[in-house]
Amino acid sequence: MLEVRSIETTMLEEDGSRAEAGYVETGRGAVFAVTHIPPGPAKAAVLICSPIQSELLKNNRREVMLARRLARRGLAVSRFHYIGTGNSDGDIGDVTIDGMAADTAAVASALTDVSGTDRIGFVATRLGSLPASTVASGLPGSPLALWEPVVSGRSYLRELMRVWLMVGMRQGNDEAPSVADEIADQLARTGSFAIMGFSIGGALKEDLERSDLKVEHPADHDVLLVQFGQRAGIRRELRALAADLEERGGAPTIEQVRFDEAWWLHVDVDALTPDIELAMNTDVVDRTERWLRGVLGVEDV
Amino acid sequence: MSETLLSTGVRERPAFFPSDGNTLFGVITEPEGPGNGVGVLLIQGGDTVNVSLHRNRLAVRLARNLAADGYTCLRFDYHGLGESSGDLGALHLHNPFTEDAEAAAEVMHQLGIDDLVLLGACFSARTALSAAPSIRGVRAVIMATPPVGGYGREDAMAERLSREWSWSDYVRRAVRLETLANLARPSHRQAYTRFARFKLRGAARRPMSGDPTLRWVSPKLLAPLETMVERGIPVLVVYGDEDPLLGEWERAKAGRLGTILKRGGDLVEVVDDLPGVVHGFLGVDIQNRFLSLAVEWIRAKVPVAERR
Repeated sequence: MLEVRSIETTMLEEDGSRAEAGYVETGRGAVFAVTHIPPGPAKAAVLICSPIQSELLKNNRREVMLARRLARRGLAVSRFHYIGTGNSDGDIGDVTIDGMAADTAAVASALTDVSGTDRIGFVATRLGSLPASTVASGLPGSPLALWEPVVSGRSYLRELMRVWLMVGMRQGNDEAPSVADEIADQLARTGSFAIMGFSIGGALKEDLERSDLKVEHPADHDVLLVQFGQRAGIRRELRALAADLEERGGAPTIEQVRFDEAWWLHVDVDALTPDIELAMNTDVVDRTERWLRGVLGVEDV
Repeated sequence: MSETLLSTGVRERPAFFPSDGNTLFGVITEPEGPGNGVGVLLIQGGDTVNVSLHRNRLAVRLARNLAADGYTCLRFDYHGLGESSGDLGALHLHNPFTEDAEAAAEVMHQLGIDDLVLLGACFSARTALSAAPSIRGVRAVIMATPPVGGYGREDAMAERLSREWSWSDYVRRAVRLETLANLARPSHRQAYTRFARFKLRGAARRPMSGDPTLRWVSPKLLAPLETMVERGIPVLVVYGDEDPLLGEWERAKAGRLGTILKRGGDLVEVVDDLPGVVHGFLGVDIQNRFLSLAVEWIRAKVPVAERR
């Protein structure tokens, strides 16, 4: 390897916080992570569990904004990419729900070490909600904020298939084989199938068919459910999740952020200017920050 | 850990580096052993969600493939995207993010890599080409689906349609029920106004005689391409056979672009027959074809020093 003179792995923010990029060794491979360290001692820690593929790209800047904001408020925050995704080791075929949970647990442990606090909260988006809820369930008292959570793996797969259909129809693909047949064919040929150029491995598909979001002891956790979208009312799946949590002793908070996110589709550029995007990102970041500081007991600075 | 040896046998490490008042983030991918002295800058992004990973980790896969072959790669996030600081601002083809590419090249130089290949797609293809003349040690440039015009991100469709649609196309679509219904939505109203404005502007500027088609070809594309030809630096241009942007490129060849290409001879290689649409890399098959093409082309066109 060549000699390096001044390549930094840390970025200093104007507010005194800093972002440190590196890797957490998990036994399954190296997980890429960025940890945001507050200027003073960490009052609590937050682990941000990203979604994958298209959803990872679409949510990325929102997560960075949230992490920087929380670090400014005195919280240590880690973000990371599961094995087989993003900048981490491995291929998309390595992604499984159990694997994602193992990576989440490993980074949570590293964050606890770095921050010096075991008060840890979770923010997860879309598919990240599944591993996050699993790991949080093992840490009583840990709050859990879920943005547009995937409540059921099966319904998530159905959603992907709908995207596939929409794209096919837009391309005038009337005589295409059924989505299920096409996916089966791709899986047989390559071990994965692709939606909008993003691969989903066969192992993950199998996992999704039997995975649901589950918070083991809801009474032990503050839960925030955030729905994105202009539609009136909370969607059925999210209402059912909230009802289930309440029935089992929890008291979830539901918030709606009024912008639509096309998680897998191209957005009409006329409808999504940088200004609009910044405004919608700021809204969800504001709400989540307020909620986290409240439940973690972190005062305003 | 601030660096890691991946299961594929290449090393990666993150890097933060300065660029024009911002701090950019990138990932350096290197061979485990001595490299071949050539670096590849993977300039990706431009869309507000298109961070340096690119679609389906295309940039990650490219970097790891190339590093396994001895190349040192750097993929990075533009200012305002991914892990980098700053605000993205407006995307306009007249103002590609040249400073960011230059700053990334400086990282390569700090690593002791003097010979560089610049690779980018769409807006980033234009960034790669714009930055190439000012970066020391550029040995080749790869541009996937470079737009030829000089419009902004929000105007891309309006600009293209103003050239491709006739007035009767506009009128036919304007009176559709769907269009009229959409007028109630502010975002659509804004878009329709933009479409009309571009068409009217084009008509106002178009002379009654002479070649009306080439005003939209960006000098910011032509000038650096000409510089590459003058310096004898090979350039690869890649389109799919169904790429909408290929039509722009073909039409532009009637003017100065054609002259530059003629003068460049084999230096500017245009591959325009990848099956389907390359723009956006919306298919895994097209991603893999592009990846193979880019790796093979770099191997063929960029002389490699002895391993060091």
